[in-house]
Amino acid sequence: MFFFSVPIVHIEAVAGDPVYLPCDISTDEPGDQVLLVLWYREDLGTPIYSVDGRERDFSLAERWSDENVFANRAYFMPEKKPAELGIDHIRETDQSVYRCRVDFKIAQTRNSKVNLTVIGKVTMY
Amino acid sequence: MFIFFAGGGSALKDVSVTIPTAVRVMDTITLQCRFDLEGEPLYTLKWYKGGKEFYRYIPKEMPNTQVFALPGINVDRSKSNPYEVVLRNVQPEATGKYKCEVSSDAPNFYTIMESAYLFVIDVPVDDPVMTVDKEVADVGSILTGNCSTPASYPAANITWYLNGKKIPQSSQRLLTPSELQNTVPSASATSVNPRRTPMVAFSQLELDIDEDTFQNGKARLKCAGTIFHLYKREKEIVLEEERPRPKPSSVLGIRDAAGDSSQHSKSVFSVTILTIFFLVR
Repeated sequence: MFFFSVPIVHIEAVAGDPVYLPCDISTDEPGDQVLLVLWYREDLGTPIYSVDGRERDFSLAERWSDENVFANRAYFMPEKKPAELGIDHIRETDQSVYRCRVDFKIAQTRNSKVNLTVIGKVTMY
Repeated sequence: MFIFFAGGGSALKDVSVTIPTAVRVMDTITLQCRFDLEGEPLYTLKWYKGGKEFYRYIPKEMPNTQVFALPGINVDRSKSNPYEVVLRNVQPEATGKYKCEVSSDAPNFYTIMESAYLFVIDVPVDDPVMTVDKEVADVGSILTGNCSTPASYPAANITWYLNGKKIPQSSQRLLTPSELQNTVPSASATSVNPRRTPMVAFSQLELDIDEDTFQNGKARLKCAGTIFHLYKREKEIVLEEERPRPKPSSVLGIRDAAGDSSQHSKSVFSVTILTIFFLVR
């Protein structure tokens, strides 16, 4: 009944492989810049990964990854088109819906979702 | 201009959205978003409609407020603040799901969203139209009544009353336009109407006429159409009993209203109501 304008992509990955979650950070507005990129798991709460470019150039943005989720397995790649959050050694417990929120200085906030399915067993630590 | 955050809480909580459920086209409405940051600084508050942002407040940015155009939505900037966003002259396109998203500042960026649904209704000006196949009926016969409401989105609800008492709906069916043409009733249909097409509600009543239908040889049959609290119109027809039975006047003379209605409540209606909606061309 409702229209959800938040696009969702479905990605399947095999446990142990790297996975790349897309998040478009491009903007058409002249003079615009990305302030923040926030990745949420299941929509809400504290982001699990953030890129804070508010007080510096976005290429020097401060990156933070939740120790209890991706920790140092995750790395944001803003130069890709679209930008991607890479995650190494994906685990079955990483299976979830992730939301990427991009806050721009000028343009409308952009939300997109990734439904990540992880196949197979993994026992890596 | 607005918030003073002090003290040392831990997280954002208690985000709540208060908006009207149904308003008229061209109304001015207020969208409220309340939240408790428990001492954390606010990074941003955003309003979305159907996933698209139309208002945001970022205290650290200059300007701290930004408004984005969406169909049917005109934000009154001078009257809006992070707690209350005022929309002027709302249009039917503004119907939809409204979401308030609040995020605390670094390092946590704790985020909560709450949403609520708004209907902006072009309220019909006309009354329902009601017809019956006979206005004089005898006990044992079946009376057929039809009632339709003017086109609206969402479609009106139709309720039937006999002598002021709601007629229990034994069955209600919804039809798509094609089903209506084929006159094949089906339980499917109509709830999906993404383009907010105005719909006519149509209800057919089959009423078994019995001894309790009439009061002093007369019965009041009423059809009422409602759309939330914004449209409440009714049509009434007085039916007459074909051959009024002689009644003990002494009993009638002393019966009060309460006694009358309890007597009435014993009567059993056998009713079939068919309510259908169809598109207006």
